[in-house]
Amino acid sequence: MKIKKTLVGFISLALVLVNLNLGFTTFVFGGDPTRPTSTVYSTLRK
Amino acid sequence: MVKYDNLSIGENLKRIRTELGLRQYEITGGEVTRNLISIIENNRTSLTEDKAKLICRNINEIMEDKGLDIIIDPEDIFNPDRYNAKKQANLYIKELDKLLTTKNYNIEAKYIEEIEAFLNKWNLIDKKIRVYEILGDIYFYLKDYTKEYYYYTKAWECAFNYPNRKLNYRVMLKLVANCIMTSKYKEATNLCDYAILNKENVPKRYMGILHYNNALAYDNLNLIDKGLEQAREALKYTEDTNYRELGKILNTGGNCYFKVGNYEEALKSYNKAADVLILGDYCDELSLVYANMTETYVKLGYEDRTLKYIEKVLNNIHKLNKSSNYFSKLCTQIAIAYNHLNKYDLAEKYYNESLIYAKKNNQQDIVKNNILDLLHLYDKNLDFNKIHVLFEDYRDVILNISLDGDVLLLLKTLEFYISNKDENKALQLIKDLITNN
Repeated sequence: MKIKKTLVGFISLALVLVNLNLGFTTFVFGGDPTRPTSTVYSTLRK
Repeated sequence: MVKYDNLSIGENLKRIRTELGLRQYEITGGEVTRNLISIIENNRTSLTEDKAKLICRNINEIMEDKGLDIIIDPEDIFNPDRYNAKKQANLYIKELDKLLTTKNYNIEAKYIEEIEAFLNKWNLIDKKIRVYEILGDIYFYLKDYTKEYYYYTKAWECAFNYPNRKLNYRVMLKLVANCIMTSKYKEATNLCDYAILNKENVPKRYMGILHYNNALAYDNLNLIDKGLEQAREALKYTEDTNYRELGKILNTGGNCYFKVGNYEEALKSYNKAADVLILGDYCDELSLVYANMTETYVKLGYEDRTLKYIEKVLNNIHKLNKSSNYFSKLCTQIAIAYNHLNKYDLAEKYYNESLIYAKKNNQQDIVKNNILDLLHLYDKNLDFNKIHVLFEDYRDVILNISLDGDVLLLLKTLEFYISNKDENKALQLIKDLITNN
């Protein structure tokens, strides 16, 4: 019941967003963040 | 465990030195005599704590110069069992490294607990950094960003105990990448800004990456000036032949210009990005740049060019691996463009496609944005049934929205109004709230 009410709350919020005509999301996408490539390092004597 | 029973302190020092392949004169560092090392190793004099610290510092410097991630603490010399424990920890690390390199990510929680308990017993902080980093790597490949964050954070906290450890920047950069993937942009910029202040510890070739990630995070925080500044810095450190990185940096620069409405500059940056990415044949990033160009042309009102770039993306999209994080972004961008062109069926198709892969790849922000866009699309077409289905299908996403104090207060208020059949007050509250923000 509680979950259902929360859901109704969310739907109301979303619908109001629509009614206020905030419009579609406009966003351009960034690439993925860059990570260091190597992962393994030596812990033992070479 | 390897056993070395009843070793004296001198014998233990000799064992550590020879196992690390060092000669007596090498560990003097010019601060103690080779003769002293010799008589300590032969138990003819005792080792003081100060001398042990000096010897350890010299050993650690040599290890660093050799590029080995080995740290010897004075306790390792005084307590042979502790050094044995370090060797056992190395075996654990070797095993974890093997899992990582063979892409065998099925790791049992019990095994992790066993390793953690062992490291805690001996308080082997340097080994913890390594273990937590590998565990973070494993969860990165499993796309479990929450656990990845957990382990990298632990590794980063441990790294503070060894501020001069050269490989600390690697943990930090991985943590930054995780923060960006999980929309913790403020934390990402804090980490990057901290590292930039201490940049003598970061190798030059990683400085470009550091500035690029920082630019990405600032761009997402809509701090555009900072984003552009960081993108410019990133370019300074990136080699002319590193086409992928250059393309990503230029794309981020383009996004910054886009967000401030400078579409001409955005297009210039995107075009430069496309040029370098074509040189390197980096299809994923290239498609992303084309996708961003579609939206720029939408903004400029160039319908024919929008369609041309949608086509370019669609021609490339089949080359992409569907587990790529870019796949969902491209689908969303195509959907946005079709939406602007009033081709709603196609827009719906690509939003849904994006949703499927964003969910699979655990890209929460894209999932939420797509749900909102689909909601708007259905509302525009008065298709309320589909809105109900949408909320049912993505109920788990809504239920996982994190509730801080503010949101909880809002929901409680809404719950009260709705349960008392006072929907108008609930709606008014939401409207007021949005207007005030």
